[in-house]
Amino acid sequence: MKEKKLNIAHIDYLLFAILLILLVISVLFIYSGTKNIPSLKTRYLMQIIYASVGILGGIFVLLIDIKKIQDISEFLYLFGILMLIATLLIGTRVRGSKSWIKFGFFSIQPSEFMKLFYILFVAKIITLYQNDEKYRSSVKFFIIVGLVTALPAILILLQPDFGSTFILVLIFLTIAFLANLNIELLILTVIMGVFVFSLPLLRVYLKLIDTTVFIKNLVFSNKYFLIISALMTIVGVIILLISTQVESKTVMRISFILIGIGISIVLSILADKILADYQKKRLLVFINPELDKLGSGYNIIQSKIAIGAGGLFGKGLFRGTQSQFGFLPERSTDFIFSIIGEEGGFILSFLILIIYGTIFVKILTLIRITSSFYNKMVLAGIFGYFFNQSILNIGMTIGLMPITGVPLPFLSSGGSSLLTSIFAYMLVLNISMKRYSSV
Amino acid sequence: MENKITFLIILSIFVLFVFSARLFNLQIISNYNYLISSIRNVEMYQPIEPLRGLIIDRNNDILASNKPVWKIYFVKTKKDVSEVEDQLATINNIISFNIDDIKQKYQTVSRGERIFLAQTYDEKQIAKLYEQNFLYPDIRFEDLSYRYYPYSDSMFHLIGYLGQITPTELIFLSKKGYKPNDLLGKLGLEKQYDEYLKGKKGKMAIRTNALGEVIENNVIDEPENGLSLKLSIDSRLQQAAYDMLKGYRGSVIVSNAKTGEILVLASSPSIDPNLFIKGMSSEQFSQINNNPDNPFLCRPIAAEYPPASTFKIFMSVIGLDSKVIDTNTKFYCNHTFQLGDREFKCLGRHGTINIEKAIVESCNIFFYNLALKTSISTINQYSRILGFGNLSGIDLPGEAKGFIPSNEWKINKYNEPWFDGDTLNLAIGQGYLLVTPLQMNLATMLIANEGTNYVPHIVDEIVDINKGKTVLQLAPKVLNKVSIGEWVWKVIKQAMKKVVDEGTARYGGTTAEVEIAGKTGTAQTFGNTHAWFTAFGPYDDPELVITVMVENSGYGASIAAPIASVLFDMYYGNKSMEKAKADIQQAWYKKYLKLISKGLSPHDEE
Repeated sequence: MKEKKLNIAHIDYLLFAILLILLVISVLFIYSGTKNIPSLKTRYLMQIIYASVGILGGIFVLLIDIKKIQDISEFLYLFGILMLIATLLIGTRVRGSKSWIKFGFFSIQPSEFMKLFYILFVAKIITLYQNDEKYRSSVKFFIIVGLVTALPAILILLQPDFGSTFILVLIFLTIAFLANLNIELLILTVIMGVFVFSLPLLRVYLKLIDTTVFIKNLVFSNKYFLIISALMTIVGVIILLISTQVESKTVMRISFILIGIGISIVLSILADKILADYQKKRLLVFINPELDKLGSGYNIIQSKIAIGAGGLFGKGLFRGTQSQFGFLPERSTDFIFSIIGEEGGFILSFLILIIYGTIFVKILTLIRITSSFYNKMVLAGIFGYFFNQSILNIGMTIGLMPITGVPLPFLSSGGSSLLTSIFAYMLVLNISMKRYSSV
Repeated sequence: MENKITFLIILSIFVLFVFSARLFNLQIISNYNYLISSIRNVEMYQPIEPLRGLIIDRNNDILASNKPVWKIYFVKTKKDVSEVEDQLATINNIISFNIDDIKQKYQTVSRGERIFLAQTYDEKQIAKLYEQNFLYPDIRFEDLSYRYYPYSDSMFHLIGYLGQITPTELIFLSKKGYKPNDLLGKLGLEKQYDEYLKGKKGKMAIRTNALGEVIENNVIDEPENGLSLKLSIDSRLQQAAYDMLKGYRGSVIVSNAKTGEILVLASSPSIDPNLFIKGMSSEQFSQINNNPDNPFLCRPIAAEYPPASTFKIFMSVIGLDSKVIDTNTKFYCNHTFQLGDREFKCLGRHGTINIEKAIVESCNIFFYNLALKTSISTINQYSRILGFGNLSGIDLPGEAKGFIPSNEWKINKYNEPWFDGDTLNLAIGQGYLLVTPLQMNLATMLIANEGTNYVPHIVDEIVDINKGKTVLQLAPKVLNKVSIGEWVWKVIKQAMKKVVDEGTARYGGTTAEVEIAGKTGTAQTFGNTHAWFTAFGPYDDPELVITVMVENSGYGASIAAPIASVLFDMYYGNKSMEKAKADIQQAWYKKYLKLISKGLSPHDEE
C-alpha cells in the first residue's frame, strides 16, 4: 500500500454539506428552544463556539493519517478510562448524575469522548487478528473484547449514566456483528441484557400498580432469585465440564445459556440497586405513558403533542407553543427533535430522517469500499454510534423508544457530544478521501 | 461481511421508514388532535364575570350591592416546597392560612397548578400584600365581587339572595344559558329578575406557560354588567315595619292606591341573606332549617289565613250591591243567634243596628242575618270579582291564591252539602275562606279607589346604570275594575272611617298626621288569635293602603292596627318611628277626651 498525501479536493462534498446543514439547524433550534429561559439563553452561542472548534479541530482529524491514530489508540482508550475515573472522583453532580468535570466556565463530559476512544481501540484489537477468522469468532476473543467494553461501560454506569452505557454496549454489538465475533455469544449477550433489566422493571411496575402481598413478597425478596441464580450457574458449570468430555457443541451451548442467565439474574439484582427509580420508570412509561402521566410519562406525551401539532409545514420557527412556553422538557438537549417537529413540521423532520439515512448508508457503503481493515472496524463503530444514538433519541421523541436520555448527534446542545460527533464524522470524511489515494 | 453490510443498510432504511410512517401518522393524520392538545396546553378560556345589577329603593337607597373580595393563590413553580417556604411564611405573616396544609398540598399538585391560600374582604390587607409582591413572586390574586345586602334580614323575602345553581335548577335553566357553578337568585327579586340582574359574561383567552405564568390576556368578549332595579319600596318604612313585626310571625304590606306600587312588604320571622353569601356555620344552618316558624315563607304573598272580621266590609259590599239589604236595614243583636239547634255568638250586645254600626262595632249577628239572605254562590261570585282566590301577578315568586269555598267544593271534599251554618261562618270571615295579606290589601285598595285597583309591583324601573338610562319603566296597570254602585263604596268607606274614629280601632287606629279608615279582624285559630288590620288614607284622597297581619298575637285592634298607624304617620309626617309613636300617644289623649264626652268607652272592643 502506497500512501499518497490526502487531497482536500477529494472530500465528499455531500457529506460535508450535510454536516454544515445539521449544524445550522442545530443552532437555530437550540436558540428557539432556549430563548425564553434566562439561564440557558447563551446555549446557542456555546453551540456556535463548539461547532467552530469542532470544525477547526476536525480539519486536523480530516487530514491526519489514520495509521497514526491506530498507533496511539490504546493510549487514547487509557486516557478515556482515566478521565472516567476522574469524573467519578471530582465530577460535578447534575440532576443526580456525576457525568461532568468542570473546567472554569465550561465542563466536559468524558463519557462522550470515551465512545470514540473506545471505537478506535476496539478496532485496533480486532485488526490484530484481521487474518485469523477462527480466533475472532472464538469465545475467548469475545470475552476479551467484552471486557474492554465492560470497563468503560461500568465506569459510566456508576455515574450513573444509563443512556451512554447502553450506547457503548450497542456500539460493541454492532462492531462484533460486523467483525464476525462469536454470533452465539452475541445473541446470549442480548438475552442477558433483557434479563438484566427485567427485574428492576418488574419491581418498579409492581410499585405503580396494586397487587397481592404474596406476589410482592416473592418479587421483592432477593433470596429466591439468588437461589435460582446459584442453581442455574452450578448446573451450567457441571454441564460445561461434561461438554468438554463429550465434546458436544450443543451441550456446551446449553451450559452457556444456563450460566449466562444465572449471571444475569445477579446482574439484575445489582441493576435494581444501581438504577434510580426515575430511570426504571422512564423505561416503563415507554410501554405505557399513562402509568406516570405527570412524571416520566409527561415528557413523552408533551413531545408527541409538539411533533403532532407541527403538521405538514410546522408552526414556524420560534412559533411553537410547546417549545416556547416550556411544555417540552429538556428541549435543547434530549428533545431537540420535538422542536424541529413542531416548528418545522413533517417537511423538516422528514428531511432530518433522510439526512441521517444518507449518513448511515454512506458509512456502510464506505465500509465496503475501504481496503484497510482498521478503517472498516472504525467505520463499523462510528456507524453503531451514530445509528443507535439517533434512533434511540428520535424514537424516544416520537414515542417509539423508551426515554434513555441520549443526545441526538449534531443537533442536541452540548459541547462534548457535539465535538465527539464532529470528530467521528471527520474520521469518516478522512477515510472517504483516502479511498482515492489507496485504491 | 458483505451480506452483513447489506443487512445493516436494509435495517437502517427500514427503521427510518418506520419512523417516517410514525411522523406521517403524528403530523399529518392525527395533526388536528395534537394541535388541539397543544392549544389546550397554553390557552385557557376564562369567563369574565359581569357585575350584577344593583337593587335600589325609591329614594336611591342601595338594597343589594356588590363588594370586592380577593382570592389569594400560590402557584407551584418549584419541585420541592422547601424552596418556597420563605415565600409562604412571609405571606402568612400578612394573611393567615394553615401553612402546614398548604405545604402538604404543594407536594401533591403538579407544576403550574394554583393552590388556594385564603380569601379576604379586607382592602388594607390586599394593599399590603400587593405592596410586597416582590418578596413572594409565586403569589396570584383573583379579584371577585360578592353580593351584599345592607338591610340584612328586614328585606330577606323581598330582595332574596344569591346562591350557586343546583343540578336540578340547571336542567331547567341551561337552555337560558346558565352554566354549572353560576350564581342564581334563589328568592324574591333576585330570583324574579335574575335574567336582568345577572348581565352577560365576557370571555378572556389566557395564555400560560408550563409553569402557569400568564403570558398574555386577551379579552374576546367584554362582559355586560347586569341591569339595576329601582324599586317602589321605601326602605325607611320597610325597616320600621319589620322592626315592629320582630318577635311575631306576620306581614305588613303598604301599597300605593293610585299606582299599585308596593312601598313595604315585610315578613317575619326572617333570615340575614348575607349568611348565604359568606357561608354560614352548620349551627346557623340547622337553626334556620329547623325553625318551626318557617322563616323562608314570604308571608305577605304566600301565607293564607281566614280574613276574620275584615271580611265584613266585603260582605257588606255584597249585601248592598245585591240589594239584599240597604242602609236602613236593621237587625237586632242580643249576643246570641240561634240557627236550628246551633248557637252563634257575638262579642257584644249591640241591640238594633244598621249596616254602618255593624261594621263600626264589628257585630257578628248583623252579618249572620245578612248571610241567611245570601247564597254561597253569590258570595263566591262576588269574592272572585273582589279579587280573592286569584293571583294578583305581583313581581315576586311564590304568590299563593287563597281559597273561596263553594257548594260543589264542599260536596267533593266532605261529601256533604253547604249548610247555612257555613254561610254564617263565612260572613264573618271564619271557616273555609282563606286570603293572603296581599289580597286583603288589594281588596282594600278596591274600596279606597271605589272600584279600581292596580297590579301590585315592586320594581318601578329597570335601569342601565352605566349608560344612565331607563331600559324599562313599569307603568301602573289596572288589575280589577268593578262595576258596583258608587254609593255602596261610600257607605263602606264612611263606616271604615268610623271604625277608626269611634269603632273597634278607636284606640289602635289613632293617627296624628292623616285621617285614615280601616277595619280590624281577629281570626279564631288554634292558640292565640290572628290579628288583622287593613286601612287606607288619607280618607279624602286615598293614597296608601296598609295591611297588617300578625299571627297568634291577639286582637287586630290592639296588635295590628297600631303598626299601620305608625307607618301612616311616618309617611305623612316624615317622622322617625319613635317620634310617630310619641305623637300618636299625644293624639290619643285628645281623642280620649272627645270619646269620653260622647259617652264612649275609650277601650277597643272586638
